[in-house]
Amino acid sequence: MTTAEAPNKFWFRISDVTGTFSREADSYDPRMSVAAVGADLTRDIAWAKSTPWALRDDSRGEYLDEARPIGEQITPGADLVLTPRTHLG
Amino acid sequence: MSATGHPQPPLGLALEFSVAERSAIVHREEVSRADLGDLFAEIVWAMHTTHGRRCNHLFTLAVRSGGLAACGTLVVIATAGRLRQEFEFEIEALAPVVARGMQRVRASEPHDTGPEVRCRIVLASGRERVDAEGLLASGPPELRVVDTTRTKAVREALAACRAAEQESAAMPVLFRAGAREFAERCSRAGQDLPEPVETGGLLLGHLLRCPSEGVFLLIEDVLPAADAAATKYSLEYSPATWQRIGAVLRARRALSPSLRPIGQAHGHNFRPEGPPCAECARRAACTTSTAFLSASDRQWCRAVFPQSPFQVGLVFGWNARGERDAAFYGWHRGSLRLRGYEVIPDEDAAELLGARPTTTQQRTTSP
Repeated sequence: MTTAEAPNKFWFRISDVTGTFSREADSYDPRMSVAAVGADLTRDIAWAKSTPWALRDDSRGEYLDEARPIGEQITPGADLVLTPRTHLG
Repeated sequence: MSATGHPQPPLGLALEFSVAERSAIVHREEVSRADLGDLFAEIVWAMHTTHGRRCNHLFTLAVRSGGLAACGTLVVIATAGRLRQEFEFEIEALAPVVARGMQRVRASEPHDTGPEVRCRIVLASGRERVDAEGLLASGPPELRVVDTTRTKAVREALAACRAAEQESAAMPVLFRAGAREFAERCSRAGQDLPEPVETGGLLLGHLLRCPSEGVFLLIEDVLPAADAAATKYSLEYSPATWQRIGAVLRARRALSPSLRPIGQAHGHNFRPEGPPCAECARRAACTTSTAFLSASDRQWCRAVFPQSPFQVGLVFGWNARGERDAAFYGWHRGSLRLRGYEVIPDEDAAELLGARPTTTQQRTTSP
């Protein structure tokens, strides 16, 4: 059964800010903190450890609260963007 | 830990830090697979664009000592079928690991660590080579096939690029004239404010392949970083900036699927500190400038364009004589390095892409 056919399953789409990388993620427990999910996603695709990351809900344009469970902050099927928290200088 | 929660053994590659006049190693910083993502992606890209081959994602690592590189160099051996090729990277390619290690060194020996800290690339004791699986987010991007035979200006610009980048054999980069002008306008916009700030935008471009001219990059447009948090010395894209960029990108890519973010441009809208140097009058060009990629800029580029060996960066600034200055960078051998580009007329860019200039292109060329 695909994620689209399982209405009760917790899933979301994740991409990077450039849209180069994009995929569906359906293996996360909605009770996991956003920080834990973000850390796992960056590790999974071997992105730089030295940069702090945030997960951004693209529909609202806001960063998710790292300390709170992801399932409390998004609805299934949300578009999340893994966004580096760094600045040009 | 891996994505599945299982710990991964160390690669067997590290940086060893020592303090001059002391033989003891003061710190050893392990290099992880994630640290090598940019290098592996560059190799995969090179094998793809140079040889048209799909690279095996299992690499062999070795360290070469001696020569001019005091830190040693990292040698990565890649294979594609029977093809085997060595790629050599200097310590700059491991800059994030160096920064991480230096942080630990300074934390543990705050009084002993001035500029005399040294580091060198080493393999695990007793090993001459180690194997490493390249964990890459995606394969090399698709190249849009174009025909340059009808655009003389493009062919001439590609030849000029190749001549200028002969030593590095770096991919030619063409800039649409209107986009180049708009990049400067966006980047210097912040200097006209009562309190000047940094401003800039995201560069959009196409990775192109012409059967007769090979692979090259065309920078076609710029998306200004609206709603960014800016100060005199920093520029931070806000959630609203990224949201707007994402929305525009989706719309633009629906019309032109090969269009992609390819780099950034921004302005260091401040002058170098202090007066021009004593030899100023005798020098043909002033080299004291604020047009350069800072450490923060480099970190931003690595973070926003991970595993993107085709990325570029453009920084506008001022030299000590008060003249406008700019510096252009391209990814090569594991880091962003100064390089050149050629500007082509808007009509030739449109001809190359088989399209009339878009509304945005017309906007960016208007005064």
